[in-house]
Amino acid sequence: MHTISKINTTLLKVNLMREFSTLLKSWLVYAILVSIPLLAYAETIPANTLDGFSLGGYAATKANIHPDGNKEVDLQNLSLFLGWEGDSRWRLFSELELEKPLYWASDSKLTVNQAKLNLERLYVDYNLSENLNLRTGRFFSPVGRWNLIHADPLVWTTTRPLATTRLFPQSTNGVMLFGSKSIDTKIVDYSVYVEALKNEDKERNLGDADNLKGIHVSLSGDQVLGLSLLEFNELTPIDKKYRMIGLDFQTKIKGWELTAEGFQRYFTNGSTSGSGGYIQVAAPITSNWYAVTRLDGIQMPNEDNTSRWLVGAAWKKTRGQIFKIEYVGGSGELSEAPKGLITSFSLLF
Amino acid sequence: MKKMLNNQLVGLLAVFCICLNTVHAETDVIAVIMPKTSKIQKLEKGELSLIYLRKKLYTSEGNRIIPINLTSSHIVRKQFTSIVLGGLPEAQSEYWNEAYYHGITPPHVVASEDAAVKFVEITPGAIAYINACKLTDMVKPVAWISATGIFLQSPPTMQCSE
Repeated sequence: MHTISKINTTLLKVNLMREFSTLLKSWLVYAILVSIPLLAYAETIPANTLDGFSLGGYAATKANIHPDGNKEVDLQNLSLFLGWEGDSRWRLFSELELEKPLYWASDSKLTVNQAKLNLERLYVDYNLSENLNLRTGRFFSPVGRWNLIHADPLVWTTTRPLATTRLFPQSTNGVMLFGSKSIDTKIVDYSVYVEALKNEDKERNLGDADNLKGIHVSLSGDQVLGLSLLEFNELTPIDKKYRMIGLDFQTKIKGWELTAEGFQRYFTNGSTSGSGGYIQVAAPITSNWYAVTRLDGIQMPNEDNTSRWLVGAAWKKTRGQIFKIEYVGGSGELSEAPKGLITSFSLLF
Repeated sequence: MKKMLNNQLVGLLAVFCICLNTVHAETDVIAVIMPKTSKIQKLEKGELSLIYLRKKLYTSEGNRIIPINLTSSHIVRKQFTSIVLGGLPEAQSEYWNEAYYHGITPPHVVASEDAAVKFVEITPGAIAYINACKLTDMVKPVAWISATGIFLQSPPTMQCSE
């Protein structure tokens, strides 16, 4: 009896220590973020840039009232960027993200237990020539458009299109050759990448994936047109190998913005192994308010089709600050694609 | 007769070209400048847009390029941005937010054309744009841009007020 009581006490201590550790991590990041001046996106390179170092990040809060009446509020994430560029051909960049440092739901109490620290990106760039650079490290897989700029202050909606999360690995640990070239009045951006280290992030819906390799090309002018081609293995009990093609498009006319992405995935024998896409429109209402609507859907093997529709509004107060409110409906329940009334505020600093 | 007419036409065309190249630079011609030591002799619109979007960060020799902007309300900035980047400075803010997310900061901003000239003069790899009448011997022009957005092939004959 005494032994059981001792074990319980020890477990309690361990749990408390874990909570304290998570809390400490949260507050450390808070402290760092608060201690740096709110640079926001600035016209000038920050004054506190010392010897080529730069510091920035973003923060986002979110509230969700589900169709069944359940409520959730969380500090969605705190991200910290640290970069360096000197006079040489080398550049460094990293992003450390603290996910859900604070979480509250109507059926539970305020907690820090869902906090998770992620190394989102960490890479070194080396300039090979005028139009070619080499990136080594962990970086976002250059697939489509949303995956590359998915930070809350940069997108119109709190929720993310399903097709941009479930069909391909969002990050790559490897090497990438990339560059840009001007052709007449247009700019071509290109990247070729290959995974060098297995992605160990088991939180991804895709599961572990390896042998990722692909290319992405985009043409920017009055519109942006992009093409993604990639191949990878999904490490399931039966090793599955996929090939995927993606197309993305964006145009802006008189303050309106139309964005669309579509993906088709195949098994290497040519049979389909999933597809998805979205189309989104943002239209100015006043100088700060925008109406936003989106349709998106995904079809995965051995799963019912899932679709989402969204109507909402976004308020951009200043550069890098955005308040969003949206109502999301559709079929199926997925934790990564909540439905109901969702609102958020995010800030790039 | 036909030959004479042709000669007259060629002559008229030559005069027209000279007139086109003689512009009131105090209001419309932009000179893009780099340090005198720079190996770059000439820049076209496409290269300039890559540099000012900070998609091209290094010269072919591997030296860092440091683009300089004037303030967003400056008339020369507005003219340059419209011609080279296809929109007014405020229209670029979303692009810069996205670039910032990838660790790319926008160009430095200086308060005046004189400051831009001075910065370029003393900073290897710097590039700026100024009203062509503000050009000095301490920097090297690498492009001339007319008010209509034409990249002039040769330095224009300028009429600058004192």
